[in-house]
Amino acid sequence: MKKKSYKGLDLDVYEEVLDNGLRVYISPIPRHTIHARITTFFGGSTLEFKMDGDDDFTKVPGGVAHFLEHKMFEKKDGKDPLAIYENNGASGNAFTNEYVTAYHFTGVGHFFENLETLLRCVHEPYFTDENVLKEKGIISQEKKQDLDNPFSIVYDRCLVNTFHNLDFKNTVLGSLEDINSITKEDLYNCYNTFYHPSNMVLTISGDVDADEVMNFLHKFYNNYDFEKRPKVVIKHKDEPETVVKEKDVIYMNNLSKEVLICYKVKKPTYIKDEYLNRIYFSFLLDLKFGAIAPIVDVFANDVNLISPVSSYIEPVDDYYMVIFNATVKDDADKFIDLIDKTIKDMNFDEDNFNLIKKAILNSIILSTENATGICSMIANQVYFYEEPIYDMHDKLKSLNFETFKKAINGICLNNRSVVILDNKTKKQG
Amino acid sequence: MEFYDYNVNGFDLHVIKTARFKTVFYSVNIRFDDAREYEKYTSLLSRVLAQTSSKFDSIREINAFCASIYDPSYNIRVLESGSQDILSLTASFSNEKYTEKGMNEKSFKFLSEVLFEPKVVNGGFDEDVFQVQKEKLLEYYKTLKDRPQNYAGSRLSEEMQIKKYKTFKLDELIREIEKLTAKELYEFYQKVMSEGKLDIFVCGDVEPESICDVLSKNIYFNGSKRGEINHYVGQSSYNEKPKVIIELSSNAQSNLIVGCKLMDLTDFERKYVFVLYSWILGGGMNSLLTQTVREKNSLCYYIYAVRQNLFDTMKIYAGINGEDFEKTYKLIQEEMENMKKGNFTDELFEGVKEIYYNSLIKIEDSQSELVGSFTSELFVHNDNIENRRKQMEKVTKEDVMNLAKKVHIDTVFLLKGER
Repeated sequence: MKKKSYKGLDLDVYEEVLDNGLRVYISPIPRHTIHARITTFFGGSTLEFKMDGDDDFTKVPGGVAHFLEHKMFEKKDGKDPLAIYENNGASGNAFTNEYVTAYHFTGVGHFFENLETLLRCVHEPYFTDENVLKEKGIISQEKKQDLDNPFSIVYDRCLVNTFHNLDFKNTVLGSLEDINSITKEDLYNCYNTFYHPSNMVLTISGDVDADEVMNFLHKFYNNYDFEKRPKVVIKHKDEPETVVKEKDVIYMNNLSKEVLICYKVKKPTYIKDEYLNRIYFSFLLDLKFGAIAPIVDVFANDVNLISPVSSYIEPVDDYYMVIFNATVKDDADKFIDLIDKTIKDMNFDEDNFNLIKKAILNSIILSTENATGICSMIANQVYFYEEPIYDMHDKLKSLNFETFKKAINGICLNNRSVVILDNKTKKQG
Repeated sequence: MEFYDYNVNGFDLHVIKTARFKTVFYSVNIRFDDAREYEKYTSLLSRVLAQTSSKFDSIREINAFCASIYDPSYNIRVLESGSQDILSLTASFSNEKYTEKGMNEKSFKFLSEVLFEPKVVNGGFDEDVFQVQKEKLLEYYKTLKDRPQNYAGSRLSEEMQIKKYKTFKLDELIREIEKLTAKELYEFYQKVMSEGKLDIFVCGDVEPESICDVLSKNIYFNGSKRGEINHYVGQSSYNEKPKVIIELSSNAQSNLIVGCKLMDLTDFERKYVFVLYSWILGGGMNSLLTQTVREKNSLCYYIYAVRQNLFDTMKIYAGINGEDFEKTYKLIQEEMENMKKGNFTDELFEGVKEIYYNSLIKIEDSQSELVGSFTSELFVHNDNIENRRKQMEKVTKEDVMNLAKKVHIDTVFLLKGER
């Protein structure tokens, strides 16, 4: 076990890789609660894979990682892990996103019983035809919530319109058809491939003693036979820079218009460090659309905009998706043109750059203020950058304007997909 | 952890000094008596205050100043709290130990200005800001149907009146806001300032005396509200035959809300037994509703019960298929009957108690919860944390069964999807 530290943040982390390959990160902080989270690197955008050395790739339906997440709570003895947490006064949950699936609990006391429950939850599958069938009704209702949500409607369509080949174009939940087609065999297939400790990360933070946890883990895994095995290979798919469809209008009974704009941008290569690459790229949004950008006054005074304008970046393979979303009253095109004109204006203000730096430094202090935030930060950094960025505070302090300009120089903003959700009676009119 | 109380310049300052956090939490509450006609002002007031300042010319300038002091995050709202409304600002910022010396004072000063020094022109709020915010708010209300869960919640509130007065229906509220002027809204703001009670809470690794100094230099308050405040609003009657309203929509999912009223609760029941009741019925994964409606019958993804303590009401929310309404409603009624009969396991009963005890311990892990807990002791006469635990230990299964007999379904609203 090695002791590491997030410099400048008063945050210690004890790390160890177990014999079975599980990466463990433990960060004690002065709280009464403990949050523990185990993350498997299998998310909604992984649909074709094999073990290194195998001939053929396995293909599974959309939504399978999320379906699997639901079914991991099914146990042969009938004891739902969530029920065990609750009986201990703790609370547990899980989530699946495009990249990973994570299981977690937060509690005071009964820690080792809860931790054992968490680990058994992800290492002891019990899928039957009957319990898989039962889940379809539940997940279909979860999906239907999205089908009534204006943002989800335009976002889901945008994925299909942006990517030709990448499996990222499938939604995390899958379509209703996908959900209904998933079988017990699909689930075991994915489970056996992705739920091996070597594909997982355990993060724990709060009122926790690292030595005790490590002793517990060594003992716990003595009862399991996880053999060393080859790596998982996700099928590589070439993705052209163009989008599939540049503009799409969906007509429903909506009273307002929901707009989603997605720029598909090849990752710039000037900054080799992946973490800094993403931070520098995100300054593009912060400077042009963030709280201190001149455009916020335009947004604030525009009565056409009913909602705030949200903007964010999602890394997808070799690309950054730069996404804008707003609910507008009448004029979707006016909003789309305003965004386009603004993002393509390559004049940047150095003073604003330095102000944003201050805001980012505050935001990382906020994010290390609770155990959940810490576990999530470490797991994300290991997923995206292979290890925690222990010097992130220094890295952020050393960001500079000249490097930023070089970092985004030459990016191409010509590949764009726009989706508008509009009212169908207006179409007929 | 140490507590300090000051009375300065017409307001009460409460400081919780603790070294457990890297951030400073700041909460400003102005309590004033709720009244029917206030609803047309309150949501617009918080929007306008968030957008204007006498010190800055635009929202960008406000944000830029914010960034220069390491970006305190803040939120202005008007909260409904039983018989009281609360104009509230909550904020969180990095302690200057992690940024630059002098930043704490700058943050306190800035955050006070946001609430107490809005831009005023000719006796009203800035006309341009007011008009834009008014139009945005009206459009939000007019398109509420696009957000089915919010719309269903609003419709249930219209149909199930729980206040002492008859609340506006959505279209009435829209008409009232349309008539509102910048001057009238500012007059309302002044009324709140002159008739309210101001309490300020600070929690973090701070020096109480110096905060008292800083705030007393920046804030003068002259509200007339004094003495005991009673937030509690009980229910005096319910529909013996529940009112059932079904409205059609083109949504994929149907949104069901079952509104319940509780009659004649004792203080002990309201503070302790009701908590256990709602958690056993519709709290977590173990709850009767989740187990029956979701797990055994696969009818929904979510179903849960939420208490409104200060009103003695409870709402049960579920997302289902339209054709499953009768079946779901019947199962909900059956589980409410099971609560009366005590048909729930000791394990579940003890489990929710354990969750309650843990929630008490967890209060110290969060600045906002610490302040919230402290506030509830001051204003809704909650017991202190230690006594809350002792009181909860006394609750028996019979207490829960007795309370169950006081829970009555009053109004059922279904926004039925046909897609």
